[in-house]
Amino acid sequence: MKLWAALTKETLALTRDLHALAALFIMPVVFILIMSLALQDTLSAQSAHKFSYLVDDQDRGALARTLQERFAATSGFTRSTEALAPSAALREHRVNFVLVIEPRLERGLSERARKPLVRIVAEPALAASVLALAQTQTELILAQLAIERLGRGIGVNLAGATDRRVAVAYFESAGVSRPPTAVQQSVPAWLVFAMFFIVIPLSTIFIAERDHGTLRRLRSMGASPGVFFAGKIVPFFLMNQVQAVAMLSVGAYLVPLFGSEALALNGSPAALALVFAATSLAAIGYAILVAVSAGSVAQATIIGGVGNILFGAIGGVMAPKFLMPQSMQRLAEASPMGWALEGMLDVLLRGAGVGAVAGRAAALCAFAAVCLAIAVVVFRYKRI
Amino acid sequence: MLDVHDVHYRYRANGPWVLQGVDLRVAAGEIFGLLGPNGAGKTTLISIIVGLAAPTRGRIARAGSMQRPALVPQDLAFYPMLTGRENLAFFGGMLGLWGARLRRRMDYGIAFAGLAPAIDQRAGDYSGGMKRRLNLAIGLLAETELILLDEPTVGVDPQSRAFILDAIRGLRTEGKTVVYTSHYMEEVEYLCDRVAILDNGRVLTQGRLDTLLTGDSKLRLVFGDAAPAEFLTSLARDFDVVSADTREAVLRTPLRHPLSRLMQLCETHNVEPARLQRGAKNLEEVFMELTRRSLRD
Repeated sequence: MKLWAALTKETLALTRDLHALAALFIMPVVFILIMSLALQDTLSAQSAHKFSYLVDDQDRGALARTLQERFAATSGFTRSTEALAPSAALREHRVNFVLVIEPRLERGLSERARKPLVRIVAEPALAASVLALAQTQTELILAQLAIERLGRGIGVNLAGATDRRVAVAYFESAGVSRPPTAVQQSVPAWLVFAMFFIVIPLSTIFIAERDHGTLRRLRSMGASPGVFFAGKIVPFFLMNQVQAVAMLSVGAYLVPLFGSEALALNGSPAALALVFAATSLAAIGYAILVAVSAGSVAQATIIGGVGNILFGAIGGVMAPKFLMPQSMQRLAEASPMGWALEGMLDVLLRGAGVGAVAGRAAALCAFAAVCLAIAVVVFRYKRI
Repeated sequence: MLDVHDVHYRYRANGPWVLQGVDLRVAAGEIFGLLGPNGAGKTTLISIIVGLAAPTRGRIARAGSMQRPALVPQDLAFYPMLTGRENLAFFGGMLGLWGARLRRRMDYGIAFAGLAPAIDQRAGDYSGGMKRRLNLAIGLLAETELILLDEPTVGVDPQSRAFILDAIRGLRTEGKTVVYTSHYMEEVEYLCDRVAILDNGRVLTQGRLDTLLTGDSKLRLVFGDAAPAEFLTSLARDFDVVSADTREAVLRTPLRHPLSRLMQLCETHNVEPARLQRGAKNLEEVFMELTRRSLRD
């Protein structure tokens, strides 16, 4: 009966806090929409981003045309239809680079040319890796053309001799896979962030109870801390599950309305439920620890908010983990938000089952247990 | 009903003593006033009596000790986002009440505190007086004989204060025992049968209110108009003057001369004696005599 009273009170208090509800539901929906749309070109596997270029053909021969055709057939680059002069197109950021084919290409290919046959002039911001890819593709095409020409000289058809014989595929399994799409990254990332955001309403309610003497009154009535905290854990746990279902629905039904792809569940629903439950326990444990440790609502808001942002930044919420350097990816393993996010990505992206995410769920539960244990010690020490 | 024996308390080992050998005896069915300035140790003593803290030394004995006393704290200790009814239901539930028993106690609290018109409004929207009444009603949910009221009228308007004081007086007719802390002596004078004055963690005095207020061997003379200086000089010559100014004089008894001499002196100096009191004083004066400072300091 005491637990029921505590559950009812906490549920009423939480559902009547409109600011908290806005933070728990509207904030992640907005982030999911913005980030899904903003990152869809960058992260979408289906429509990989292509870099645009112009050709400045100063040779105008048949070989130069073949070079252009073969370069256009490579993946990753799109020939621009800009009518601007190459230098103007680069200056105005209309293209990423210009392929300049020098005059007398055919002659240069048959001789030991000392001068470059093709120059690539790129905008300053173009990543070195992209530039290297364009250079490699061009070198390869020129090599193909040289070999074919050599074959023709000795009466052997060497066309296709340098065709690619290396097949490329993504290794698909839990923990290792191709990168997520924008919606696959955004939905779990901002869901995890929003679930941990319960630190704000939970600590606000708790500190108000402490400062207004309500805790003292409850203790005078013989209410045990166990009942009191259970009364907090259950409603916030349920609130987290509602958040999870709502954000998955946003990814599946709302995001597509704005032109992005829909979120699909590739793995086991039970595994996803397990990750949600473990994430929620971790978030509640952390929130209770902040609540009992902070001296005021302002302190709790700062500690909880900054803590969440740090957990999120380290854990791959703000910037996808696969875009981080190796050292930062290792650091992401230190963030409970990172464990939660990877657990959700395992299920949503990599088709994982319960067994595959059990380790991450256990880590999240252990984090919750440690936070709660410390919170109990602080609670007793401070004689709240 | 309640026996506080030699209670000492300090928050940390080697810290300053907050309570130093407090002895109190509260009889069943009485309203006992615990009077003292801020920081005197009243709330700490209440916390110990209710079981929120254990005395560092000494002991507390309660008749029917299985029964936990009800506490009405100084703070407005409820949830502003819940309605009055929801608050009562929650705290009743935390007391282990449910079903018809809970409804009965809620109805009692609502009627006792006059909350019915606003019971389904959010408590955060209540006026200051209504919040105090709700605070009181929550405290009275417990089915217990001993009720501890810790400054329950702080910051309320005179109308609500009068309502609350009358309601508390009504508890005596129900046979409840009340310990009432306050630094408003007029409240204590109005409500209490016996009082204890606490200061710096010590009980300075305790006893029946009428004894404390009359157990004095001084004579107070209040003047109708401002008394002239020559009169005060003559007064000091003929009587043992404890204090005197143009408005009143306090003389130590037994008087060195008969009372008629005093009246004669007044007549000689054209001083009109507006009031003559023997041993009558109020709690503020008792407190000032004991501590040399005002209750509201």
